Order: sequence, then structure tokens, then C-alpha cells
Amino acid sequence: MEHLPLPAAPGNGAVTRHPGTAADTIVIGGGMVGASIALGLVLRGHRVTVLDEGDRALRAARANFALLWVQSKGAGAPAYFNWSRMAAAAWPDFARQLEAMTGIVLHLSQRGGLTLALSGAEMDHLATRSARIACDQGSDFPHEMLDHSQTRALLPAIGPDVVGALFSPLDGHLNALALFHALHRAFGRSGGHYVPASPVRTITPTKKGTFILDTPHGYRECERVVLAAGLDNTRLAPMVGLHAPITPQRGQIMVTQRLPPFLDYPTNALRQTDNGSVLIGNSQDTVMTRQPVDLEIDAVMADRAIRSFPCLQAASVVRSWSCFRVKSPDGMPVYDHSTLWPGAFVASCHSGVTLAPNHTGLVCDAIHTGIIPPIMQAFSASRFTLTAASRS
Amino acid sequence: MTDRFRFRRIVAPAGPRITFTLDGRVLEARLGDSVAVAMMLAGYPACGSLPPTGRVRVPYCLMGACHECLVRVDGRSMHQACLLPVRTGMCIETDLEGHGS
Repeated sequence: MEHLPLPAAPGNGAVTRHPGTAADTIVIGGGMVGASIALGLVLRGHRVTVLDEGDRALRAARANFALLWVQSKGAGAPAYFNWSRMAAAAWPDFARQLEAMTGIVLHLSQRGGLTLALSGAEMDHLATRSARIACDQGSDFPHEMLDHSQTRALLPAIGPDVVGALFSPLDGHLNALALFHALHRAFGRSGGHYVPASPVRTITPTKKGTFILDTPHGYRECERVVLAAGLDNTRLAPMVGLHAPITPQRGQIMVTQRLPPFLDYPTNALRQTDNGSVLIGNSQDTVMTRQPVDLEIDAVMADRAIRSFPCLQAASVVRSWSCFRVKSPDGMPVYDHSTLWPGAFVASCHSGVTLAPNHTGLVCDAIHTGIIPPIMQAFSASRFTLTAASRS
Repeated sequence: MTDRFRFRRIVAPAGPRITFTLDGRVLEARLGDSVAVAMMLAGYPACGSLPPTGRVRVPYCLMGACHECLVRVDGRSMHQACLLPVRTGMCIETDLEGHGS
């Protein structure tokens, strides 16, 4: 196995503090991914500043569904499945540590999750995809294809239209608002510095190996810069010799009034939160407008939700919103360091909740030590340029 | 309940006095108040209970965002009390027992 050396920070990965330098490390982006990485770095002794945008930024963290989800990840891309599964396995300890550091309860539940099928074709698709993942994993993919009555045994509220389901015990969910709060609180309590309303206009590498960031509040200099700016990574990455081919994917979420608990397990499209609300939302489209909500999409999602769980017929939707998720061309995360400008690192991904333990853990080890471990090497952005080259 | 929630009107209301009922109890408000404000000033801010825990909920944001103030109004459920002007004879119901007693 080959370790790609991360650039030589002075002292072989150790952080040197220069008087007059505001931070050793600046993380651009204070969303789920940025906050996770910032926390991991501050826990490794870095002096970290997070530069975040304002409330009106295109925040992918708003689009997250708070699932810890493995069962659909990486059919034909075993590295992504392994990466997600590793994160899921790390979640119980990670949640305990975060809760202990912050006193914030995350309401983590990891008893498994389901994808419901409302037709035979959907059932076939789930079975085929699961078979592919199982094949990649040498059969080490804990999952079950359930028929209607087996599904009903787990979720008694399902309607007659539910043909069956894919169940995997690897999956779960939590309260994403609590997680987001906890990441930021733990970061702040550990000495991290958070600066809101501070979009980065440009990053300029210097001859001495530092980076100068131009923000509305002035210039900031740092030894390392981590791009965790979601969709804005596409613009920022080339400034430091990186590549982040990310496109926005719009999603919509609907929230119902609070209901007595009726769902013991989350599904990929619908889950009940710890405070009783039901979240509905698995829409994906690539319309890039800021139009708040497409009611036709809401109607389709509501129809599916009611066919899945007829008791929702009487529930009121109390809010609905749309948001932009971060999607790479192959759906896998992008983690990379810059060979042109050592000290710059990029992280973009679709699953900021599921992968949070990896972002606080292994990704920060990679940034800190300068060594990208084998399990992360499949996520280099060079995969896109190599693919493009081989096509031409 | 009245001792625990002491809301005080700090701007003199323009509207005349009216009465409405909350879980059968006749209460007074001013025309122009929202249902939520009328309930709070009358000393009965509790709107319902949280399904999973049974914890009482009260108006929070007072601007239509939080949905903590859902009540039944004249027989129709799911009204946001903070967005609805109170009217003479309006019949407000919560799902809390003992509210009117």
C-alpha cells in the first residue's frame, strides 16, 4: 500500500505557531462537514478558525435527512460502502463522546433502517442493488429482503401498497439539529474560533508556504486551509491547485405536525423524529433555482408517504423547504490534498451526518499527519481527471 | 397557572374588550389580540402536549414558524394561535385536561 504524502508542514506534520498568524489552520465552511473537520483538528492541537458564510448561504446541511445510512451506498463502488460502514460502526462511541463533551443529547438510534418498495419493480431494484453490494463485500453485507408481512412486523403502520422492503441493521438516525449544535459547541469549548458572515473571496498561496484569504473583514493568513465549503468548493479549489467537480442537487423536505410515535425504524424517505414530527423527503432534481418549493414534488412525496403509511392521511404538513445537496459526478465523497500548494485540503460529500465520525477522525488524521490512508485513496478528485483522460 | 405565567400588556390596546372561551372557561381579551396573546395574557398559555413525552407546549416564536401553539378553534383543529386574531365568542380548545376546571 502506498501512502500519498501530504505536504510537508514544518516539523513533519507538527503545527508550528508563528506569532502574528491568526490561525494554524483555517476551515472554510461551518456546515456539517466543516464543523466535523474543525472539531477533529482542534482536538489534535491545531489552532483552528472556521470561516462561515451568513444565514442566506446555500447550506447543504439544511438538506440533510439525519439518517445514518449505509444500505444504499456504493453499489459497484466498494470503497464508498466500506467508508460509510466504518462511519456507522464508529457512531455509538462518537455520539457518546460528543454528548459527554457538550451535554447535548443526539437521540442516536441505530437499530436498522428500511427502504420500502411500493411495486414489484422497486422491489427488484432493491434486490439487484443489494446483491451487487453483497457481491462486492464477499457477502459481508448484513441485510434482508422483507415481504409485506415481514415488513409489517417491523413497521405495523404500513399500508397495503407496500410490497416489501430492504432492511439493514447497519442503519439508523439521530437529531441532526442536535448534532450540528453539538459539533459547534464542542469546537468552541475546545478552543476553536468561529467567524460567521465571512465568505472567502480568494485564496492566494504565498512563497513561504502560507495562504492568504481575502474576506470582507480583511485578510487572514494560515499555514493550512481546508475547503469544506460545499458547493463553493468548486470555485475555491482551483485557487490552491485542487479540483472539486461538485454539482448541486435539489432536495425537498416536508415536516408534519407532531404525532404520537408510530415508526420504530427510519426509512430512506420518511422518518419520525424524537419529538414526534415526521420528516418526508427523498426528492432529487437538478433544477438550480432558488424557488422555495415545487408543490408538484411535494404532492408526489406526500402521495408516496400516505401509500406507505395511511395514518399520515390525516396529518398536517407544517412546513416544507427545498435545499441544495452536494453531489460529485459518481456520488462519492471527494477528499484530496494539493500537491501544487502543500497545506491545502478539500473535503466535499453528500453524507455529512453519516460520515461525521470519519471527518472528525480519519480525515483529520490525514490532514494532521500528511498521510492519506488507503481507505481514503479512492476518494481523490484525480479519479475524475483520469476518467476524462481515458475517454478521450 | 396564573401565578406562573405573568404576561403584562405594555402597549395599550386600541380594540374594545371582548370575551372568548378556552376549554369552556370564559376569558377576556382585546380586539386586535391574537389568540396566542389572548391566552398568554389571560394566564393560560398552554396549547397542547408533545405527543412522545406528554410535555406541555406553549407559544414560542409568536410569528408562525414554530407550530408550538396549535389549538382547535370553533371545532377545527391545527390552528396556529399566534396567527389568528381573537374574536368575540370564539371557542378555543386545547388537548389538555383540566384546563377549564
